[in-house]
Amino acid sequence: MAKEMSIYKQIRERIIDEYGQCLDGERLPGERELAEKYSVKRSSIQYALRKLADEGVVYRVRRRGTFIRRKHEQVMNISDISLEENKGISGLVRSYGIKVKNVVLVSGTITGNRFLEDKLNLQEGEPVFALHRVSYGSEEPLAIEYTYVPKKIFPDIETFDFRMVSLYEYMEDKGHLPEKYDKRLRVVRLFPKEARYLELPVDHPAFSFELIGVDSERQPVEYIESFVRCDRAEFSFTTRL
Amino acid sequence: MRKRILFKDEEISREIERRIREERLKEWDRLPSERQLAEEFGVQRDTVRSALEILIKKGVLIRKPRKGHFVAPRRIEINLDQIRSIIREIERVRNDNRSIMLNLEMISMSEKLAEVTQLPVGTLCYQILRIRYDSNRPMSLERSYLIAEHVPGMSREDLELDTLGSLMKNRYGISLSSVHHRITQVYANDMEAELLRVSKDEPLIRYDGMIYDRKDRLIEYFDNVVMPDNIEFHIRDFA
Repeated sequence: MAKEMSIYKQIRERIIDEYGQCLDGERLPGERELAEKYSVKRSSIQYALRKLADEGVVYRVRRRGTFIRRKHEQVMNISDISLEENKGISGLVRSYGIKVKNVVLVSGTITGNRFLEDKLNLQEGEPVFALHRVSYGSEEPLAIEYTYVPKKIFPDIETFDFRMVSLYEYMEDKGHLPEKYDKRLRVVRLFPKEARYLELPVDHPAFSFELIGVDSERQPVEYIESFVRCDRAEFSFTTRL
Repeated sequence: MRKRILFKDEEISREIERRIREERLKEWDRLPSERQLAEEFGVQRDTVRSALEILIKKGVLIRKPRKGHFVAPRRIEINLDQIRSIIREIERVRNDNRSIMLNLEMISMSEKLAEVTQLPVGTLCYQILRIRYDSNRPMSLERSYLIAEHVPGMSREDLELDTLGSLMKNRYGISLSSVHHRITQVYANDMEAELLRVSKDEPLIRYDGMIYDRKDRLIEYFDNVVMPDNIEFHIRDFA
């Protein structure tokens, strides 16, 4: 399975690189042709195409082939937020081949905010480090992300510049990478502040995510509130019995 | 001077939200007045008003002119990580007397539907259209497409009398095993606007998905549009 995944990732990259700019509805070469081209087994191609279809990058029509869904240039799928390589919204967008730039709006320590203490399971008065960022994909605002982490777990966090260092690399270094999430998704109306950063009118609808990330010991290590432009994201998920 | 991390109104809005939870306030419970809140937090009334405004946009509060602020009805929570909860939710929708079946007919799949379901154009399916109300206000419009070859001879009575899970299992020997969902934001078209009693182009949540059985056959495709304030989706990766 792991091997299949890594072959899949390579194929996925190549297909996106090569055909990502195709027009909506343009047909991909057949499975056999792709298998020859990338020198992999046909079953790997089939697997990759199935996954790409799940992600909405392509769509398949029985007996007719596989077609590009151009939408993916603008719309990313926010389903894999807790996968290793897809940390946070920006990591995810990056995996879609969109160039992402994060702008730090403000960062610093907050104490005595009982709302955040509750979310992070902290005692009253324990400090929280806040990092507010806007992500831009291809120069357009995509999401505004408010991240809060408990300072007792990351005491030296303030000495890092998260314009240069990835928050998740830092957390991993400290041995407290969020591994699993509790996620809530709603659609809300934008408030003036978020509207301004997302370059949308006030009251415009946006996805609102609330995520609590826990580390391998099930300890909350981050709480995120984020607002994502609906025109640039969709959310999908598979539930199995 | 250091930049502020959270503005006073953002801080107060979160604190009010926390208290609503902590004090277990119920739907339609009234909040203290703006003046009382301003005194309590030691801020200007403008700041409190702005905090309340944030909670209205978030769907946590409802404002009634000259009456004050009230706790909004709880959103229906759909737990995407539990198939039983989803099926139950879908069944609840079906058997709830607040849900009305507007239409049931056999159709053959259009090109668009065929693309979504990856079935051949012309595949026969039962198209079911329902509308669901929440305290007499329409809350969602629900279309579902049951692939006819898997449920031969299904009738309106079957759907009204039985839950989907047991109908599938007892009558057709089908065990449902996975659901693939998608959530996007759309704007109401003419039909949706009329049935949901909103203006055209009002933002709605589109929640569509495919239900598969153990043999990986697509049994049903559902395509719902929901009023945004009525719903939230929840996934928990850990116990």
